[in-house]
Amino acid sequence: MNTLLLIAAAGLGLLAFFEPCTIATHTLFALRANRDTARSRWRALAQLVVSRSVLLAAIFSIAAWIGLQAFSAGAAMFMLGVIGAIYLVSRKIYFPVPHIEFFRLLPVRARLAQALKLGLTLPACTLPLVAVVSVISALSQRPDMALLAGLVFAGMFSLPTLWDSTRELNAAHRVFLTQAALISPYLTALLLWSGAFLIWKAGT
Amino acid sequence: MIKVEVFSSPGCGKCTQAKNVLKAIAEEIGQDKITWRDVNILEEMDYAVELGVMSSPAIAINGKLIFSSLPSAAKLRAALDKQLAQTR
Repeated sequence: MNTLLLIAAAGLGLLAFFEPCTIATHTLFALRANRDTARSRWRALAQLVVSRSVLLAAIFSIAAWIGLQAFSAGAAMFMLGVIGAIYLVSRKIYFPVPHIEFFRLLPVRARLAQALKLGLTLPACTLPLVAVVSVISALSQRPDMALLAGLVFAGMFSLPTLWDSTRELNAAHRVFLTQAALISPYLTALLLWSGAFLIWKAGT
Repeated sequence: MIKVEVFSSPGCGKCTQAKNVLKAIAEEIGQDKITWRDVNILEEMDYAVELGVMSSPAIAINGKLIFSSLPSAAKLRAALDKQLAQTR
């Protein structure tokens, strides 16, 4: 379960960056950071990574602390199947799901740096990915491993932004980002349905 | 004639919704009064940064960022009406 938790956190964390509702925001953030002084850039990147790590580590740890005794194979298949379908349907139909902006809970929200606002926000299209890792965390009932999963998810989610902020975003890379944004919802659905299929195969 | 630009990213549902709302309002107001274009943030990053775009969708009117997130149809209509009144 612990291995599955960390693999899911790494894979889904990386995928979170490429989802259509996050890729543009993070790429613009990276471009701004790239044009900033080295000191400002690294401060912004550190704020992003640390705030996101704290948020996700807290969410997954709380899920693990609450715990889940059992989750039937059928329920897991259903959850992955439905989430995968949502990713596909959302290509054609608009779901008015808001981003969850945790920074609004802070009294100093108006004065927060953009990096902290970004780090303390869960974009709408990443919520299902966070939900999957939360359920696995709850099943693990290991807050320490869930905390680690939060750090891994946050690290992988932020990694492309770190990469983009330290290099020139040339034409080929911009085309890659556009293609990635178009493909990622289908890839996400495929991954989730593959997970559901593996659970079904394991149960038969 | 006012120029509206919708900053979006590929596959973004909220951006499609913004474009649909804008299209409907533009048809109400009159296509001869509004010209609009879809700006792919990932292809025109420099322009997006220049205008201060932070996220998608964002809407600029006459080269100025007016909405940094998806506006309601009423708010968008009010902003367009205000711009039209200023250009008369």
